[in-house]
Amino acid sequence: MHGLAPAEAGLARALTLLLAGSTPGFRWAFVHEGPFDALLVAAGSQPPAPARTVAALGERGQAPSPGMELLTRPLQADVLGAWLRRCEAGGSPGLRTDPAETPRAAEPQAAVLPPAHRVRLKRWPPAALLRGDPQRVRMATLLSRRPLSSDELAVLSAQPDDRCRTFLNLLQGFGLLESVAPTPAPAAPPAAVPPTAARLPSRGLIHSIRRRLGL
Amino acid sequence: MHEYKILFTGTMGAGKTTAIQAVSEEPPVVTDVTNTDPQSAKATTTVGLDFGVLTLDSGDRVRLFGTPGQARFDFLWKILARNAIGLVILTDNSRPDPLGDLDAYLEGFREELRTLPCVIGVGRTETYGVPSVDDYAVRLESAGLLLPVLPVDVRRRDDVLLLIDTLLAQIEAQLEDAP
Repeated sequence: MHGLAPAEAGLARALTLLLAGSTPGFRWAFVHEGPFDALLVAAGSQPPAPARTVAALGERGQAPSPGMELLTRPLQADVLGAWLRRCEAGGSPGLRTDPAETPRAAEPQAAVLPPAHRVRLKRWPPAALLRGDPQRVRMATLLSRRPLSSDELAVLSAQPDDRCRTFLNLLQGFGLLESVAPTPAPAAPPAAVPPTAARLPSRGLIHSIRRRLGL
Repeated sequence: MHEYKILFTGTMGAGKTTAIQAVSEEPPVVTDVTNTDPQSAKATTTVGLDFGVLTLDSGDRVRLFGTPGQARFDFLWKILARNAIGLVILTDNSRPDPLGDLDAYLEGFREELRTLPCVIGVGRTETYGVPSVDDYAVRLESAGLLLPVLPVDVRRRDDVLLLIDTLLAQIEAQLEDAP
């Protein structure tokens, strides 16, 4: 990618990871250095390095540079996947398959989190990733307070396993997760225990409040 | 019967009273007076407390407290935060320096924020898109804090409910940590 805002670049990377994990035969990998088989640039900018196929990410109706296809904002997984399939089918002689590329081709698979692997949020996710979805907000909130695996997140958030894994992979694509060494339970430092710890609200209270508010 | 407290704070005009009104089962007790602050166009402003209430099935109550927004009442903030189960910080993106406003509340509640669940609600983002919600997240990160940041229109009950639900999710996560 070139010239994209950090949030858009993170989204494109996350979508590439998602497609790699969910699309049989998907052979694309996100790389940082060229030469590139496919390069996504901000509309109006020129590719900084040679690439077999270049597309511009811009607004609907915006005219890309000659020879470039226009992908409209916001970037969607199906649009990105379709463009990459077109690149593979007609735009390029084929993906590089030399041994030097093998580690990069493995990158999307390695980036998919195992179910038992615990992670924690490093920073609150961009609004474009949360999309105002209350369930995503709740999952992000839980991850902001303590490290969780996808299995644990599914239990706490009452969301399906695959939905939690997808969300975690998206967060990882944005570089928002940090791994936590597996321990039975993270010990809170004494200073973090408030004087009113004995009066922590109970789970019953939480459920009561949610019931009262219709949540 | 037990009583619990959720605190709403933020600058004058950020929507604390409106947010409480959106979810309280009774019209909030409002302690407004005529606003004499020439820097604000508001006709009235809170000088004491606003509070609303939710009564639970068990008979327990959740009080929703709104702090006075003006900085000269900040001595009340720490008093009000005692024994609160959560804090909602509302900001107004139409103000000249919303991130500076946020800094003031993060500093004012610095000790409490070490453990107290908190969510940031950013108002008026539809018409004032800068700073973005993501800019708030970056500012929190630079302050060493990781808190949920959500765009909110406090006139919409669903937006206020999402703020409260986010507080509840933080409490749930804490319960797993508690010895």
